Amino acid sequence: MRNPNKKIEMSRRGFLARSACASMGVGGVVNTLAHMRLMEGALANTVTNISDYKAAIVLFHFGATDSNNMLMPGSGHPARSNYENNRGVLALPLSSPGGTNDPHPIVADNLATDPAAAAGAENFALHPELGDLKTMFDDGDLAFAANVGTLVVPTTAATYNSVPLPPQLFSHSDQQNQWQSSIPDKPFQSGWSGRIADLLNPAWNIPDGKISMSVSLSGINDNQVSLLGDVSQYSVTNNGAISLNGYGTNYANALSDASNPTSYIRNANGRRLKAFQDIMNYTHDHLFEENYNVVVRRARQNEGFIGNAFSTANGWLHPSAVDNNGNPWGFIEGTFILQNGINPASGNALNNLPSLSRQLISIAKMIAGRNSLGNSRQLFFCSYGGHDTHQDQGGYSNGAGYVAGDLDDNMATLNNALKAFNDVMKALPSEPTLGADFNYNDFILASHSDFNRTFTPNGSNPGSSGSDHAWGTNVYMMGGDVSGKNVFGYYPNLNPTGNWTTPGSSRGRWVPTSAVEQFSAPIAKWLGIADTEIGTIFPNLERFADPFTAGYDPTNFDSILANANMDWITGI
Amino acid sequence: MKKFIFIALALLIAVEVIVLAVRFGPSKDANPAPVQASGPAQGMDSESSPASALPTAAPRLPAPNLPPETTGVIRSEFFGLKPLALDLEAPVFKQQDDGRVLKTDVAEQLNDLNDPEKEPVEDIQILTSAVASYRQIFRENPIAGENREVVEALTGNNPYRMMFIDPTHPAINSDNQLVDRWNVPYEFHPVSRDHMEIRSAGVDQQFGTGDDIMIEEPFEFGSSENFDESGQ
Repeated sequence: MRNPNKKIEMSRRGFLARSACASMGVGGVVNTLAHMRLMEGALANTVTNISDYKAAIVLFHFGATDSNNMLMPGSGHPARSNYENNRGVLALPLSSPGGTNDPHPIVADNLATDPAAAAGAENFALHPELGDLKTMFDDGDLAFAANVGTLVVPTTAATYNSVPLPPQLFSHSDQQNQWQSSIPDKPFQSGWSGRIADLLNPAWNIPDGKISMSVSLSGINDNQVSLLGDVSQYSVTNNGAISLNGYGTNYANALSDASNPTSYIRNANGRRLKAFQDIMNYTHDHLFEENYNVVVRRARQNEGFIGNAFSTANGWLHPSAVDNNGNPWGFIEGTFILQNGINPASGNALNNLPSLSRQLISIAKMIAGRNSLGNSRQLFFCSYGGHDTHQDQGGYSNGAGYVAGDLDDNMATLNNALKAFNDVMKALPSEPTLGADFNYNDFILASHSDFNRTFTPNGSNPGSSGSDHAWGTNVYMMGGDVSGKNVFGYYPNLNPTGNWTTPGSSRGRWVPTSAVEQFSAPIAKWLGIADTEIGTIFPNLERFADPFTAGYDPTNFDSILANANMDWITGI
Repeated sequence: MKKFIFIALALLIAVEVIVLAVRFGPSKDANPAPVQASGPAQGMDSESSPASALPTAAPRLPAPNLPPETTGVIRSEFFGLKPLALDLEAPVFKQQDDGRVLKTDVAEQLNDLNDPEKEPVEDIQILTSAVASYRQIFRENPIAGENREVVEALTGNNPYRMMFIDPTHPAINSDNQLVDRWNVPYEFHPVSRDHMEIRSAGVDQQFGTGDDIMIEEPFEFGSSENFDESGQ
């Protein structure tokens, strides 16, 4: 054990030397190049304050959403007849008796003006519970990307039996992992967000003493796993940072001032906390021991930064939402509570919010309190589960009418969470203090999902039937820089035995027409990854068409694969 | 030591410069056409190959004395993990006239499937055993999103053309699906490459109701310690 309060520092030169040697020893040429490129960022580590803030949020739908009922073909769309003929009880009519649960029609501007698009290809409809998303789409705040999925190489139904496919298609955990890594043909090493953090963190974020660039609201995830191990994920709960147990809420039993880690109260808890912190401040020769202490010290530091960010954000008060004590809710919580239809004066208003709303509240607070976190580039990961709707998905039949199911609950949860988050992001620039230097186009939220679900249902009862595992899926993107009111990629027909689905199945499973990396590459570019470095983040991308081109022949699979139509962020 | 580090760094930087020059030089097409996947030349797990080189489809294992494969999707070798090396002449394997190989111990177990004398949950255990046997040989579950694809994998659509269940088994219906004792197709739910949930709809023949039959954790067919190279 060495002297307390003395950190073992590693110089930049030491870091470079260690990385270079490590890369020579374990990585071979591929990893050496990757490491060398990532090391470029380390040379520019002179950031002292945040500027040009940007936050990217990945929202993962664990379990695989039936995205053809989230974004369904609308009236006149070439796939509408397939949808109605093949989805059985899962097919939601565009208008039904009473009309209380009708899908919301939307028109994609990019397809309406694309001379190559088939007649009616611009007409879609959103799930009946996504009414606010329709408004957001129409306002240009939201867009969709159709039929995205994990791919090793460009693949069609015709080549399905001959080209390499992502391992373990249709398996939840494998496909979740591959969406998050975007390198499906290699054993998992890192996530695409983690690689972005490796490259951007040194150049954009204040070194040492501020929180990680990669913050997860959903525990440890694959997407933010760093290749170099240099940017650790930091998990934050719905209530903020995870604090040490046994000292009361915000250390109230041990500290007189939660923001001052040395304001010990003269009692047993205060002495115990002081002793613990003193022990953690020792340094050790043994790497395990030293790293254990480093993790604890960093966690205590991060608690302070997160606490400050939350406190700052909580000072932004909602003008009308009042809690059960007559005090105004914070603007962020109040917006989510009202959007979710919860009485703000009820005792458990906050706790009654769905987990997704709680996660997005925390993310919104960290964006509002970004000056406490020290990052000009911030990556968030959040998720919600319950999408594996093999049963009780919800559907419609002439006899039973509209029968709500699990998908309806999920879409309602999604609708309220995204709407409230979008409202907060739109209001933030006008907040006199927190909004300084923040614009609505400083965040982007993009969804992921394990895969899509089969076109055909697995039963004939609209109350109990569901759908099964498929492949290419529809995802959405939200934010000021999103080229909204558009549907990117290509939405093929829904013939379960047609040219767009995997052979050997009569259930209907789209072969993806766009790869995960084509969908995600615009995010990397938006965050500041140079064109020459995109390949470092997405090493398989060059196997596929440039994401930033459009203009396909909708009748020709090869033409679509050659024209990804994924230029979904403006100004990059 | 410092000299060595600087020399190593210099060498690496030189390599990087050369490779970047080749990769991003003026002769490079800025918008290359998508690569068609018809002629990949690099192995999936080759460290020395460029990261973006196309991998080959999983190579199929030689199967001496067997006729050509039938049609269908055959995927295996999860990230280069080869199927278990087996002595297909061992007694537990029975060669079929069509070239397939019956794994007799698993097939015998499956003779008890849907036996009214046994508990329904035993059917799930038997099927789980069969899938586990497949997994122990091929290192991963069948690539299957639906019942029919599991049946295809278990009846010979795999690298060894190995049958774990007789295709004429009475539990396989005319749609090539495995059905439970109430004639409802089992639900095969691929959770991960080594975890396949199997569910029967139960007496009411409706999934998602209280009488569904399944086992939460995969039933262990046996550990690798007692599974010898002959597959017994």
